[in-house]
Amino acid sequence: MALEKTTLALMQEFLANYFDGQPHDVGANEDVPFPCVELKFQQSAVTQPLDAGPGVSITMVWTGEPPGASSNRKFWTPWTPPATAGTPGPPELQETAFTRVSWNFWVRANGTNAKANARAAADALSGLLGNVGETRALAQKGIHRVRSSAPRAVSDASYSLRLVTATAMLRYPILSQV
Amino acid sequence: MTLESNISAVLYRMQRRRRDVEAALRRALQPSEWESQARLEAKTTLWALAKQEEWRMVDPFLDTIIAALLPGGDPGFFLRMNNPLPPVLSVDDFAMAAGLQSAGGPNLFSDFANQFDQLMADWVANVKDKDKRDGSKTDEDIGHWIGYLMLTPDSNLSDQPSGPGRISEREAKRRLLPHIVKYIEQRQQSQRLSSETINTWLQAVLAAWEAMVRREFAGKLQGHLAAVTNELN
Repeated sequence: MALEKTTLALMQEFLANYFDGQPHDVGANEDVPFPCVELKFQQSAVTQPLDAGPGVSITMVWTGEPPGASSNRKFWTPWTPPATAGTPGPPELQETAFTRVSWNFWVRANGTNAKANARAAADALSGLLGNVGETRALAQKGIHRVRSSAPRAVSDASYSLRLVTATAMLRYPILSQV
Repeated sequence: MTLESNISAVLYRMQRRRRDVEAALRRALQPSEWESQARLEAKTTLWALAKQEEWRMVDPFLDTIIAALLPGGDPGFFLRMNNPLPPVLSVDDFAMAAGLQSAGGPNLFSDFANQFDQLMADWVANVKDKDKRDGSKTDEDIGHWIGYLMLTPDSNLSDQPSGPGRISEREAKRRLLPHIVKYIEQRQQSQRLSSETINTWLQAVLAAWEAMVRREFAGKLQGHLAAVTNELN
């Protein structure tokens, strides 16, 4: 549960850096404009009516079984403790867990240009998650190998709804053994 | 020097591999392999999409989920989720059901009559301004009496007042009917989702299931193939 919470917090921090309504340098020739969206996680309800806020929301949902001991692969990996008194400590072995996870991102928009806004947000999200250069920041925090799918239109009825799926590998140290 | 052919051994291994894959495929496509995960996917999807006032509708949707083998014996399974909400019924629908109900004990339409009695009891308890005519009667008694008035054809109701200061059954029905119709409409609408929302929910769960099968199938097949191969070895 703690792992799930931390991962969602990291994803929120990462996505909020981009989806702020400003153009961002994502390695393309020109900065890419990102829409301003309301970010939600798991079952938190989006603001109603949606078009009273930014008009677009992205809800990230953890799919499948939450990461746990059963889905972990564990390895002993070399680790250099932080320097104390100016000299680095001797290399040690640290047990590290790797867990494959998957998420669904539900992109919703309503109001004027709902269809176009939902499509723009879903395309930006899919592109961002598939951009290795940009997801390096996540990898440095333990969320590796993020892979996203192309957005899929689910509904254009009362609001425009699109689904972007993604998988990733979480890498974290097992700290309980001392 | 002797040249020997090992083609028969190669063919044997290929045949065995083919059997292994088929067995693993059948195991990976068992509904029991997918049902709990499909339920979890649907749950997280609907919780993510539902507005706060719709949260109570999520569980009835989840209760309709079915995972079963494809008919005909082919390997494969299907997942299904339905709209669990009953259609909106009017007083006329209830009256028709009451008219179809025979006098001899419970039948297919008994539920409608009971449902209507319950609705009337709720109306009496929550909306009706009670007066001295209601006396010491319980809400259920009054509800049952109003239910009788509403569902009985006018021709079978008395048009004579039962006593001084009272009104006839027909007149009582005429006065009560607009209030009852309004209450039933409000009550049923409050327990419903718009058809657009229902469609969106069903389509979203379908999309989530499709993503789940695409994501998980290879891993499940691989796992079962390894297990089958180990069993035969």
